[in-house]
Amino acid sequence: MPALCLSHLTFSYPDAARPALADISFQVEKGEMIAVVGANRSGKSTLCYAIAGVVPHFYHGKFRGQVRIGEKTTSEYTVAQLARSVGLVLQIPGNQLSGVRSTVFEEVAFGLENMGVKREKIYERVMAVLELTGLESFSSRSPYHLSGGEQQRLALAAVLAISPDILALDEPTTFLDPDGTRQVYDILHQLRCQGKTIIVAEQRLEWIALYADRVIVLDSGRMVLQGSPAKVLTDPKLREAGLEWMPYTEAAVLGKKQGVWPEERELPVSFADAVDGFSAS
Amino acid sequence: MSQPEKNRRNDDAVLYIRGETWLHKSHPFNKLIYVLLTGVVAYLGPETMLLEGCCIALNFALAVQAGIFRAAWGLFWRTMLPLALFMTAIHGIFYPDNLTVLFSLFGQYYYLEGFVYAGNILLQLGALLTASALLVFLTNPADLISAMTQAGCPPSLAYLTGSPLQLLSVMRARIQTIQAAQRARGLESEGNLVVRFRALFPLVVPLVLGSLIEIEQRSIALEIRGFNSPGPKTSWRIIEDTARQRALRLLMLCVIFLLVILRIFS
Amino acid sequence: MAQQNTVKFTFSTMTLALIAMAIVLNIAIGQLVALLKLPIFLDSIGTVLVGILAGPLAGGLTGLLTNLIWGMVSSPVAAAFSPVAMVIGIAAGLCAKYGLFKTWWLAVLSGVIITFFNAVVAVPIRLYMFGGITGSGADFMTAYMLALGKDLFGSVVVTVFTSNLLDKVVTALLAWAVVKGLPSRTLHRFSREKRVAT
Repeated sequence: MPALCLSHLTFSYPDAARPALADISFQVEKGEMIAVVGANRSGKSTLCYAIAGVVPHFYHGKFRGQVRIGEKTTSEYTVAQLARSVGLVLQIPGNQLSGVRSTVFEEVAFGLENMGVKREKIYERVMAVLELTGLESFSSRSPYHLSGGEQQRLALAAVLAISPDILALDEPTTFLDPDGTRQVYDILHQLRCQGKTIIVAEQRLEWIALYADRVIVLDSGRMVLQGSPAKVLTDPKLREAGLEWMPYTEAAVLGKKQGVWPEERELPVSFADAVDGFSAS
Repeated sequence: MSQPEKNRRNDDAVLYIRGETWLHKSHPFNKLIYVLLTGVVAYLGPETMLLEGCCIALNFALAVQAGIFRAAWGLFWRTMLPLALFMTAIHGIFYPDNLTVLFSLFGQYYYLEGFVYAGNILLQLGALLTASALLVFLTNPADLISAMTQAGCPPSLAYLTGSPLQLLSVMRARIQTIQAAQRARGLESEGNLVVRFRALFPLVVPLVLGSLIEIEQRSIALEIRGFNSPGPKTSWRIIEDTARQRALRLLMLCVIFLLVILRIFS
Repeated sequence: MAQQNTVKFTFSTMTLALIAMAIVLNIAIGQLVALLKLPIFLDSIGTVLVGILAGPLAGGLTGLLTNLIWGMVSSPVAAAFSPVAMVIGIAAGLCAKYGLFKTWWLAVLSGVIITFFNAVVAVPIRLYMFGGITGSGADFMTAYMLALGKDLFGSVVVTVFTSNLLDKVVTALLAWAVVKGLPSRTLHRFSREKRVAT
């Protein structure tokens, strides 16, 4: 059974002229890492919300089709119930703090307290996710005295503590510097290796090329492309969806014309790939 | 919007001063009820200024014990001095029941009755203020909130009490950022009244709008961490509550009850 | 998921986050305006907004908690006026309920109504707890009225009403403008959005 299965999902916000998501169907296997790309307002956030049940439970509107997490259909469970299966990380680090806990440790424990987890278990689980996210040394600091990157790892730790099998991340690195972004992706990679299923909406294609197993392209709420990063990120349709090719890919196209890129070789989607290709010819 | 504020490491916006004295460690509810008790004694108790004077002295003695005398003294004068100046001047001159002239200054008579009235009010306020100072300087808000939760108070009320305290320093940093940006664009926040008034709207409207839009994300963040989970919740932070503390609390509540009853029937 | 406001204390997380943010706005903007030395306070802008967007009960709670928390973070005197702040929120919520925030001139009327309810609660507190004097600029007005031969009660009534009228009208207008400026997706998340739609 797939870890996550969307079938014919269509959703419109109240008063919206067009649906935010239109007839989206795809499946994700356990342990896969899927990247969702698309221009602004293409439906990336809404897709993340739908996976976590925020759509249609928090944002009401016209909801058709189905989202299944394992055997559960999201429309039949509350957001709190779904939280045990799906963790959601949002874009702006500071907005995800509960606001009612004064240390990093307690911030992570907040979700567990709400779920009624016993005190002895809380310590164990909080320490485990703090270690995973590299925040052990901050455990008694105020969550408000952290950098954006640290706050974002805290947000990740806070949902991981509830130990969901699936993680949905809505552009988690938009407000982070390259260092912070790399740390987040390193953690996601580790999680994937532990068997977590990950869906990440992301603007920056270079990270996707490195980490994702599969890429889904959204354009105005429709799924227009799907496949491996190497295939999707070099597909001409990517531009029709309002996205740019990565500089390495562009460089290789130019290189092909001028004969400095091997004719047979596929277009590169990473820096290392590009260096290899150019030095091969 | 959240980008610039991350670098500002403002201290939390609360008055709490860390410490390990018995007053710091006493249960938050005890300090809260003590404020209530002082208020009841000052406003409903026997009408004698001596009693309120004793309350103030006792509160300062407790402040010394807890090592927060300077902070409490500062707060006391900052609040009481302007009140005292206005009150003695205005009531000394204008208090409607004024009869007995005490002295005259620059051709203006000052009366005894007004001074007595002002003095009485000031002592009542002073007693309540010093008791409140003990509460705010010696109680970690996080402990007060945990105590509320442990006493069975709904998590929503704990959220409403706790989260504004945390958000306040974030908001202050944001206001500074907007002010700086406006100054850079030539909008003055100093100058005459009209200028200052006009500077206010471009400052307040975006601040409020931005904050309102942000609350969607904040409430989603609560939901996905099980804030609305129906089952029983647990608490990591535990507030110590001894039998002696509980007895003291009960005693204070009894005194409050007695004073209120006495007041009603006298 | 979000619970409905059927029982007394089950606000949705959206309303909770709104109230918390409004409390912070009240305090932060109130302190800012005090620094700018303007003849208004603007420390109930959040309270009025909650009254409009989430109803009288939520509005009243916002006001009450604002002053209690204000007492906790800077001046305990503010806590004494928490019932006043509570009444402002309730009044704003009731005004919105009866459609008094639909246009800018109705918002001005709401401001006047709020000033009235504000005075009903503020006067007794000012009078009995503070002897009519709170150590602010408004005390000059009280002194002036007393000098004219009015009794203390009358003087305090006049002071409270006049010193709040401009503030509450400006606050109501600002709240109206903010609600008009909210994107419809956000507005839809609040239960009372229809009260302001024209």
